[in-house]
Amino acid sequence: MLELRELVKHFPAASGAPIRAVDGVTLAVPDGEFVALYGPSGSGKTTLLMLIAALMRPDSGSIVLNECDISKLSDADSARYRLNELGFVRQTLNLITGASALDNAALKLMGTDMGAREARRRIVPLLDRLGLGERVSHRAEQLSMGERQRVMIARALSTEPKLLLADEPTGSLDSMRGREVLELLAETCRERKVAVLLVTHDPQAASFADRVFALRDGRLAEHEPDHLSAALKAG
Amino acid sequence: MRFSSIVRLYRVRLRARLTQELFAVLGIAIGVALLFASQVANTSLDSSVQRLSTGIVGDMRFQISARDSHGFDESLLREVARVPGVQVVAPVFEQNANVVGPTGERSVDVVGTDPRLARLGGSIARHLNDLRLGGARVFTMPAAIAQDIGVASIRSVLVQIGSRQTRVLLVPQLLVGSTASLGQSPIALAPLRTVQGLAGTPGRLTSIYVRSPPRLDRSVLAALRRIAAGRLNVGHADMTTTLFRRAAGPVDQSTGLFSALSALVGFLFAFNALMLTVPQRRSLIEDLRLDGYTRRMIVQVLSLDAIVLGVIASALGLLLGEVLSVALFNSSPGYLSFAFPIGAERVVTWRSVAFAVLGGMIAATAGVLLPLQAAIAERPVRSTPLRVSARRRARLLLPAAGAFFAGTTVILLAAPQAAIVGVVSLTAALLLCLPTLLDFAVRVGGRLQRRLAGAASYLALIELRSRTHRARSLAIAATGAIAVFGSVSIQGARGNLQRGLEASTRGTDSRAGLWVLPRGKANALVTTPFSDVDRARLGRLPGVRTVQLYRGSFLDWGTRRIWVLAQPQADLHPISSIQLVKGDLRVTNARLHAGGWLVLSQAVAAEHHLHIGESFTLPTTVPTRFRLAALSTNLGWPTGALIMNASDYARAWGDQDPSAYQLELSPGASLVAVKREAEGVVGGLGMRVETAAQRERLHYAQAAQGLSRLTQIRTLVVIAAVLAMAAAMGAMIWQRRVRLADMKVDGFSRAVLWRALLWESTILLGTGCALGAIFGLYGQLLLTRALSVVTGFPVIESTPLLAAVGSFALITAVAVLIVAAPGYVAARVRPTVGMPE
Amino acid sequence: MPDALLSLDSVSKSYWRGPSEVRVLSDACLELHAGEFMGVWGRRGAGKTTLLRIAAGLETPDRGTVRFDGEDLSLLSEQGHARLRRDEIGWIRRSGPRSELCILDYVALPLLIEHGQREAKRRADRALRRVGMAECAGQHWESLSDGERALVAIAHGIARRPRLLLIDDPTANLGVREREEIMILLRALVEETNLAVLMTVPDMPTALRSHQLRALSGGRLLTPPPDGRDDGDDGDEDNVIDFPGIQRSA
Repeated sequence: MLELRELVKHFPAASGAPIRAVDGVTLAVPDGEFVALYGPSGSGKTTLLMLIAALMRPDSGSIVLNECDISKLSDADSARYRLNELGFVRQTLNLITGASALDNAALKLMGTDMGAREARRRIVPLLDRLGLGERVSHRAEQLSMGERQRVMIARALSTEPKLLLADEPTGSLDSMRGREVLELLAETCRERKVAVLLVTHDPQAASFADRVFALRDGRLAEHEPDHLSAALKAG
Repeated sequence: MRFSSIVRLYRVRLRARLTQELFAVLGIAIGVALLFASQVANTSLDSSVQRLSTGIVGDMRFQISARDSHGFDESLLREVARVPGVQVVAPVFEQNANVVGPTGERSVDVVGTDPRLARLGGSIARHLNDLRLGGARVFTMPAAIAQDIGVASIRSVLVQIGSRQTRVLLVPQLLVGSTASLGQSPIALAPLRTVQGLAGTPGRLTSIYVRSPPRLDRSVLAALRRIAAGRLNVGHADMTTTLFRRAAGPVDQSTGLFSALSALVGFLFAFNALMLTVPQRRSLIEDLRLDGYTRRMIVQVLSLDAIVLGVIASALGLLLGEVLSVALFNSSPGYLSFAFPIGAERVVTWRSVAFAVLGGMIAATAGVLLPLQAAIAERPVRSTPLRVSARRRARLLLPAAGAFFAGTTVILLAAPQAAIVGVVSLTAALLLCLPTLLDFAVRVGGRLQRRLAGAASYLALIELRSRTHRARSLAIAATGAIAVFGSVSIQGARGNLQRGLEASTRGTDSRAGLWVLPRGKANALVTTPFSDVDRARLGRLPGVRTVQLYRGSFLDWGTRRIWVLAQPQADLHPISSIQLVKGDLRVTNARLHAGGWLVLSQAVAAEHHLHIGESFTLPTTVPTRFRLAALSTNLGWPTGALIMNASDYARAWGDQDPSAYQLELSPGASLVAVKREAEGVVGGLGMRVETAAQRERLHYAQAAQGLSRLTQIRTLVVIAAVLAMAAAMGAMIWQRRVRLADMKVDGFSRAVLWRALLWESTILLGTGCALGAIFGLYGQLLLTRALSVVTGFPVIESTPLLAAVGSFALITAVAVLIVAAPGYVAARVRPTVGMPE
Repeated sequence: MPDALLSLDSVSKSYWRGPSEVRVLSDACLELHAGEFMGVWGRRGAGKTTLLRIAAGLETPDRGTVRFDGEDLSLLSEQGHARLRRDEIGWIRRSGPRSELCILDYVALPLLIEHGQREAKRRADRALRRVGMAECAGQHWESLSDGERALVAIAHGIARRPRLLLIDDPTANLGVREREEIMILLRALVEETNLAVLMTVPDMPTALRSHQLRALSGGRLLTPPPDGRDDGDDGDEDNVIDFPGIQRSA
């Protein structure tokens, strides 16, 4: 269970008033739920994710995951938290060229105390589930964009986190592949009871979520999926 | 993090950056190789002398030694043996000899010692046990040296000592059957009596070695000093090594300094190569940090990168260095071999290996970690832009460069002996100036461009202005700057030194029309005395006006082996202006001519706190009081020289033997004819006749040989730098293909793109090299000053502007030419390269 | 009807992917006149980008001819191709400048081949003004939003006043509203300057904003049945068949 309470993060601007990237966000995401934050670029989506990933400290407010206040963790503890409790999927697909899909997916597990054999035992079914069963030993450059993003998802889920943060995960894909990837992401996380917090400016991506929130100027407003589709139609 | 995981992570990433990794390995290896080779060259010289000296004297503790080659009477041996605490005494008689075999001749150090030393002394002396062939005159030499003169098995050869020649049986060391090796040292071993017989001085010794328990050091030393009575030198048994180190110091220093400079170029090369993968590694670090890797884990992962890189590069570097030291650095500085038995063997010590490997590891670590420093230190996501701090840092560059420059100037003026520190600080100033100069060049280029128009130069300037590749651009320019800097300063200092040496030599050699002196390469400095028997006959030759006696030798004073030049008393100008450092030339010449005065090298005088006009006792065979007339350079002999007149020499050494006849020709006499006549008189006696011009040529060649290592190092610096720059530029251009393709889509033609790349290379390399040339001029001044002050070599200071411009133009042009090829290929890129399939 | 500006006549192209040959274009025919705006829609890997490349002369077809203004592209020298790309054909892509050029310099860059700096900048400024990005001239690519980037890319493409604009999926990263704005802008440009536009589009709603629509499927260029689209200015939303968000929420 992730709870954000009155979260605030402002950035000093070169001139004038500070930028209110996150301005009093309160949100609860139960285990296994898929929540999308939908908003245009510059609406504070990424900042919010950074705060939840303990990559930044909020100016005020708290982030509580399973009764632990994330915002108060030390640097080392926050790294451990990211390693074990959190998965992070981004738009950029920094796969190591020359390395296999398996090795790329196992990158995060290498940071744990897990041995190579056991890591493999965990990764292979995961890749299989994500539809990469036959591409396990293919090298990164032989994979398509969609496949690469699925490898990144496997990497994020490899440590069996309770929460997955996804920052425009389909940004590098065309709409068709994007849909496939999101479908897989949603299904896999649902099966594993992993809560997903997706930020996107793509209404199509947002439409996969159980709940959708609109984020504008650092503030959150609940957005009914119906409204969203209406927004799409009105376009 | 598990070690196995770190290794796996390394392996996983290797394939993507194998090429760049190999470049980095090569760069570091070049640096390690240069460090290693110069280390080996230095320790080889040092160790070959040390090994010989311990090989002969073993665990002996002290020695008493004579101050000339005539030595002292054997009776001293008994006296020394009676000193309480002395356990063993070993007599040694050592002479410089010329050995003539069927196919050539070699100068060697003939060491005669008692078979007693063979039992107790060092491993080499044990050969003597095998040399008792029933009273026959026998000696042995390293097989390699014997081979040089055409002796493969036992056979009779001619041995010349002074003007004496004797036939002796030579047994190459190979046949003696001992395991200890003389290596390739120019040394011959014989029983004491044999050597005494060869020199015609029975019952004489040149040194006595003593073994005593260390606890009695003080009392034994005091007793030995009493016996020596101020006429003999007393010191530790390894005195020769100490003397040698002193003499070889300047060469070691300069080699070390210049090797360090070239190593720096190698490491910059590696750094350039590592820069290529920085963006990839940076994004990987960012990802890993997002995935929950701690800073420590990242450092662990990168450390393995550095260690593997360092180890492989160091191993390759040692291998290359080995080749380099065998192929290039093996020539020992010739002039040192006149006074010391230097072997040609190579000695590799653990210290050299450790030093070179340490250098390699530091370079690898710095190369891997430094560019990623920010990525490691930062929190995984930047919240504040970096630019502010970068600009603040940039503002500090010039003042810092100024401070380093000022520091260098202080060193130049006040303490030139700290030249190494000076060069380092000058290099720092150079590197700190570079970013500003590059910005300036780009700005000026921008101004010019606006007038010139044309897309190519504009594109070049855009690339140079880009901050993304700033670090690599700077690294490339820095490589060029350091190469030209090193090249100009090494070559400049070398030129100044060589001109100085030549002028100084001319001052000595041209004193007589013809020189008559004992044969043998070891006698190049005219230090071997001979019996004065032919003076009258030479004087009677037609065309000869006068025959003057020249005397010379080496004098061990303190830790220095000093070259003594005693000019004929009749010589009214025993010293020339280039040789003089302090003192009035006319007065000095008059004083030397009058006698009772002498001229010392500045460094020697300083060491003994002597001032001009001061009176002191010279520690010769017959210690004599002299007054200091003036200070001179070292005349090309690293540890200093002493100039006096030949009559004073005879008095102070108690020895009338000359080392050379100086023949003055009557006006109109033919040099060639007189030379032939003179050879007729002395030719059979192991003597040779040389014209002044011949001697000058010989000395010039020797000076050039002594300095050849500097030229070699300079060449290596230039080659390494050109390769480094070209490789880095080439790689940079190659990486840019996608963008070039993009521009082609916009209608840029191949020619424009190629020209743009050439423009960019020229501006980048030209700026670096120009700065290097300017600093190089200052660097050569520093090095020249250091050489003249530290070593006392005669130098002629000059500013080789033309050479600097030449180096600058050459290196820039070659690098740009090399870059032209990958540039051309890259400009031919298909426009569709960057597009998704 | 006047001669077509761009014409593809029975163009075929195939690639080798591993051991198997993939036929990307098969007897594709197309004619585009000045003042026409054609959208090409197709699945990923259908060969949309290949089509554009062939049209730009960046790639040669295996069979068939490509003509620009009546000139057979396969007969042009390398210089001729460079001139064509410089003067006649603008190519708009998603990637921006990698060096830290400001937007004005980026747009002015290709103009420098023919013009001095001042003139190049004047023209670049005009292009930026046309797409409504004049106030961003001093900014850098990194600081722009996706929508702004797309506008700058268009300015970059039209600054040289080409006769044909080839656009590779400019709206892929954009939100609905931004996509809409881009399409309106492009249509206005076509009408103003008699420009011809060939553009690949990611989805039907966007595709429907163009004057003409082709679908690429199995290597063939198809013209959709006339009832699939309305020739008017408003795309017909009722024809949105394939839009997952709407289906889910329904």
